[in-house]
Amino acid sequence: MTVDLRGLRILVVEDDGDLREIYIEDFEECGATVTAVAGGHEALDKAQSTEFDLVFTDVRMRHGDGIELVEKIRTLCAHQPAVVFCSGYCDVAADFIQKWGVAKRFDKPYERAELLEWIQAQFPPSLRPARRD
Amino acid sequence: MAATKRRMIGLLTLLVLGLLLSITVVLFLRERDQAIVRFESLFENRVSDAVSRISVHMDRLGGVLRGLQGFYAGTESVNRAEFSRYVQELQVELNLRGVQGVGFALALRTPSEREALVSKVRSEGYSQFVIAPTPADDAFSSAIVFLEPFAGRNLRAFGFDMFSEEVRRQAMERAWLEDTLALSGRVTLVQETSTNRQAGTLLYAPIFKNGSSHATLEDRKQNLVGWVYMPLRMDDLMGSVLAPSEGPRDIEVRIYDGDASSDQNLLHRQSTEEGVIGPTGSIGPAFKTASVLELYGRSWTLEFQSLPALERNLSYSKAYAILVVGILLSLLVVFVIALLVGREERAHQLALARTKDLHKKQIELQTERDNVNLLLSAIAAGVIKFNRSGIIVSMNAAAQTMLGDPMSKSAGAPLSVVWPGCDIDFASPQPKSFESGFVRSDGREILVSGSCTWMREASGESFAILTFTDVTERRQIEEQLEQQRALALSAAKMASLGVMAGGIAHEINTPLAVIQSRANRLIEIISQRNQPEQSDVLLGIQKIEITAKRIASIVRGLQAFSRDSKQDPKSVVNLSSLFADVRQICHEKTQNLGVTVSFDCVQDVEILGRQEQFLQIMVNLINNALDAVRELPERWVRVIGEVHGQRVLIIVIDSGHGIPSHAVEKIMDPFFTTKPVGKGTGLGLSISLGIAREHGGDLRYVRGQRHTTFVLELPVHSASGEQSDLHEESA
Repeated sequence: MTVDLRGLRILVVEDDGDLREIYIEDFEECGATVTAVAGGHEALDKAQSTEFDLVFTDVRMRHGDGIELVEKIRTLCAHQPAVVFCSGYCDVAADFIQKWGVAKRFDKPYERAELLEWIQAQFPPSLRPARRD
Repeated sequence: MAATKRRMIGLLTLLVLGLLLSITVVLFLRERDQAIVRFESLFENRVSDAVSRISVHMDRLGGVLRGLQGFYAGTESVNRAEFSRYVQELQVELNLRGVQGVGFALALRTPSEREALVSKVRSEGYSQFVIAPTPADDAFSSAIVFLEPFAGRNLRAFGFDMFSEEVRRQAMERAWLEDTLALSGRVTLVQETSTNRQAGTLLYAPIFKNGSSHATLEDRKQNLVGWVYMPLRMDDLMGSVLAPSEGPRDIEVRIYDGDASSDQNLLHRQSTEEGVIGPTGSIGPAFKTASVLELYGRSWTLEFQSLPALERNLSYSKAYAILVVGILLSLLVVFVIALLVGREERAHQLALARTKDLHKKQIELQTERDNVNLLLSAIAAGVIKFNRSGIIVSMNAAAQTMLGDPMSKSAGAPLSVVWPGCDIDFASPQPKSFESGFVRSDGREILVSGSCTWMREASGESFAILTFTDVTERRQIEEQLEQQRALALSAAKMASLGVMAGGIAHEINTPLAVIQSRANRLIEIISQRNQPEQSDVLLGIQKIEITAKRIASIVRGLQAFSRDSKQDPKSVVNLSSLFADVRQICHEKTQNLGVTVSFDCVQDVEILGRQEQFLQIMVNLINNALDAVRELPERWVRVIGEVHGQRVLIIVIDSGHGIPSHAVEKIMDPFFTTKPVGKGTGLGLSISLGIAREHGGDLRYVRGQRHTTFVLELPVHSASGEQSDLHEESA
């Protein structure tokens, strides 16, 4: 595994347990600190209590969807993380992504290597603060 | 004119009536006059009869006195007995009522003669005898000596000096001096009592001395002896003389001495015992006449007046009968005329009324006919009436207009000639509805819908009434509506399909992401371990990953196809990327069918529109092509993009050999399909055409090509910088 995500605090929001497990495995293997929740409401609580570098979220979810989550994070949270969508269905309008500062939208099924490399590119290791977990 | 005639007839009738009544009146008057004349002659008859009776009777009385004169002339000295005997001989003649008697009065010139007479009579036994009234001593006097019958009231006249009374003396002197029979004026006889007093007269005849001359007045004065006389009670006398032989008296007679000026002169009037006297009777005033009778030196005026008994003979009954019959006849004639005229008039009136009635009915009929015609010409539906031989009897304006060529194809022509396609069964008349195409003489084809009704007229003949309307336009509108409805239905279907596809994509993509990521991780792990004996495992996992990618591709295609993008804003679509998407979508199917699909984009251009809809059209065209060629030995589809000026032509050719000519016309119609039931909706091409036209383009089948060729024509987008950004964004 060549991708280095060490020092990144990532909040994974995904209601599908299998996929959530894959995200955790992949991000942790790359050195990131991963917090995973199953819905938007739970994610908002986490985002308000904990600082994250990246919120990686599904759009359609049973307990609070991704769109609502982004809106709440952007309006309620003191620390603003980067947000990435990973959606099964491209039903998010382009102007929404621009307005709420969604960094990237990935469509499922995503290319695993592409995803990880994009995150590493967004958060270069040289710029990451050294953090003790 | 009728009124004038009626007036003429009325006038004539009145004239006839007048004429007849006039004749009647004339006849009536003449008959009445004749009746009067007849009556008058009867009256005259009666009168002359009475006059002659009186005259004859007075003559006879005169005769009696002349007889006595003769008796005296032949006798030396007549004594009482002789006189009495003579008079009794004459009794038959004198046996008349009213002749009071026959007497002799002796003339007495001196008182001595008077004394001698008195003594002589007294000596004969009449001791009471006196001459009364007692005359003056030297006066000429007379005395009644004999009077037969010498009895009763005649006794009172015995010795009476008639010469002493003026009226009597005049008559006596006339008789004496003129030696004639002389009648006195009106006197009251001395025989009269207090009851039943009548007027009287006396008839005198002179008696001269026997053998002496009485030729001269002097002789007569000297030789007078006395007078024979006859006292007459007039009422009794005339009653007797004029007594009718039978029945009541029918004329009244009044006898006056001299003229009729005074009642002093009245000698006789019909006694009351004979009945009513005076102007009585039912018919007018009594008839009157008068005549004068000269009798012994006096004139009697006889006045006659008819009495009811006579007047009964004056009968107007015949005249009245004539009048009544005449009037009745006149009325009858007029009635008959009026009846005849009336009958003619009634007949005339009846004829007139019938004519009027007929006229009114004609007008009503005409009005009704006009109404029907107006109605027929006013209604928009065509109406044709034809008989059972199929010959047109009449048609209205709408029918003529609809069928075109108005006049030549109207009444008299067979329906089969006017309307070749009309399949009315004239042999068995049944009401039916029909919808039929009809090619007008001007070549325009119209569609008419209507019904045929059979009816039996009063004449017993059957007719058919064909009513129809031109439904060509309506049908066109209906078809358009149907097309729009189909489009809307399709859009709705697509929209719901899109919603479903979104859900499916979401649901599938997530597990697909799990599969793909897991496969990717496994490949990574196995590659790192670098164990050659596990290469087949690696290969299997790689196939799983590839298949997962294919599934993702299919799901993406489904999403693109099913999206209801009509409301979406148009964006710039790149022709080559469009081709790429189409290729991806169709890849699976073409692979399975073993059909070669080639995409040839000669020149890349941009089109303004909705990519999903362009995809829809192209996928539809390719699917049709695939279905058409799948059973053919030669199986290929070519998609070519060409640019001609401002138009992009996307040409889809397949290895088939065109569409049958009968189907070409209808392939763009909604629901037209040549595919087996359940395989196609028949909506594809019509929806595609709708989309193409909405984008200002066209979709058409190209005839006369060796292979089946469809062309989708779209306008080229005149590119600008902003729109290229949009393009990148959507890519």
